[in-house]
Amino acid sequence: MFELSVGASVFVLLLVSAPILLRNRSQYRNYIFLILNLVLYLGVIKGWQQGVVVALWVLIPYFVVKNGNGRVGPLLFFLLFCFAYLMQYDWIFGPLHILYAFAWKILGLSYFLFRQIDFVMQYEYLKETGVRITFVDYFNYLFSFYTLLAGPIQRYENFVTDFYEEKETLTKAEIFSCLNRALNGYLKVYVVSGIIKYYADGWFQGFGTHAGVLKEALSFVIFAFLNGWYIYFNFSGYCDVVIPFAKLSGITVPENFNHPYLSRSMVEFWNRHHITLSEWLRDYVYSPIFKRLISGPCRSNIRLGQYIALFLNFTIAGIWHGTDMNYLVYGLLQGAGIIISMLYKEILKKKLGKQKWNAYQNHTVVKWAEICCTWMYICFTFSFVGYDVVGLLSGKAV
Amino acid sequence: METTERLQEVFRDVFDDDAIVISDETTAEDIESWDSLTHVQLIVAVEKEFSVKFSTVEVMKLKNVGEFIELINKKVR
Repeated sequence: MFELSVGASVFVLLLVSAPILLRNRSQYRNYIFLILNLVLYLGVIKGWQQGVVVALWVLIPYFVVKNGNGRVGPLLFFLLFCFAYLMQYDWIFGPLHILYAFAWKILGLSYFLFRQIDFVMQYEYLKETGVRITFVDYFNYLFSFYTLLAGPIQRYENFVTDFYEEKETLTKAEIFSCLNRALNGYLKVYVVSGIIKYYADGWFQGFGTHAGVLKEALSFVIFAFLNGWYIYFNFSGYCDVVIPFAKLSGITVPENFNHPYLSRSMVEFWNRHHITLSEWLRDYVYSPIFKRLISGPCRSNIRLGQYIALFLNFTIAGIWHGTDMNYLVYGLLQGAGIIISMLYKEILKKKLGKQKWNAYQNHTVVKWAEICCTWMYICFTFSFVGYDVVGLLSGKAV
Repeated sequence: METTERLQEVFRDVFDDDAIVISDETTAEDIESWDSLTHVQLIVAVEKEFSVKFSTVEVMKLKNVGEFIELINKKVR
């Protein structure tokens, strides 16, 4: 998230200067924000080709939906196709022998896509309900430097309503609390997650050098646990930096984490981890698929429809996270985990009856056993994020 | 039958609870098993009962039963 040195310096500079520049309620506040967002993006862009791709990526959906007839299907298909091409999904395009000559990777593309889908899907509703729609607001929504690189995924309506909302002046205690949280977040990203990552890398690279299957398995388990904590500290730390700094600028960035490793099930985990992604997927992937399934092929078996929809939902989530096979496996494991977690609950509830089930759920040992199992499974699935575990398992050198 | 009464029947059927009584202010907070997973089931059951179709955005914008009734009445009209 903070790997780009030029970008990172500009980013810190913007975080500190934005509260001073954006706190005023002048009519030019949206233009000031636009300039700040442009500064960051121009600081990290590489070459004019990227600039052209970004410009097209931003302009096309805006003007197509603005001048369209309300049908967004073809535009969504176009966006998804271009996304897969620009991200270079080899396992999709490889067999087709498509050349990547024009696939200039653009920074923040994954998050752009989800925000744009939200904008495109909601455009008619926004227009009907009188929500402010201007190109400057749309640009700021996409490029908001607080959320550009690692989310959270805001919705256009919430973003624009919040941006123009009159807010009370923060008290000294509130300002102190924001700075305190940001400092903690900074430490989480740069110190804690940095140290954990160092050791996670070490254990991963050491895989294959230990004598005996047991030692090898143990080394993988240690790596997976370390990596699980790395992801948590790095990602939630990033949010702990941007959320309070945005608040100081009078901008609300939604919370994205709520003690995810205390979840008792996979369903609960996805309600506590990367919350804005889960909500986005629920609205735009799970619900439409589930609705279609139980209105048609799964009419007589709603549960089956739900499992299929959830499995597809999390497989898509995995694919969105990255382009190689590791992310596909990650998504499949999330989908499988969710279904197993739901089946466990459903079967046990049926077997025990309501009263016994409640007693079982309230038992401290059961609670902590569920938390531990969920956490271990999550760590296992996270080992596919950022590391070539598929390559490792298929015998490729680390 | 009034929209509210018909909708209440659908609620009782979907959430398998004959004690459910809905009002305009009723939200997902008030019904234990009304979550994002059962919400879609509710939408499909309502579509069937009232012979209407809801879009993805309409489904996600509903905040309470009052808005739901308003949307149904708008579609049925």
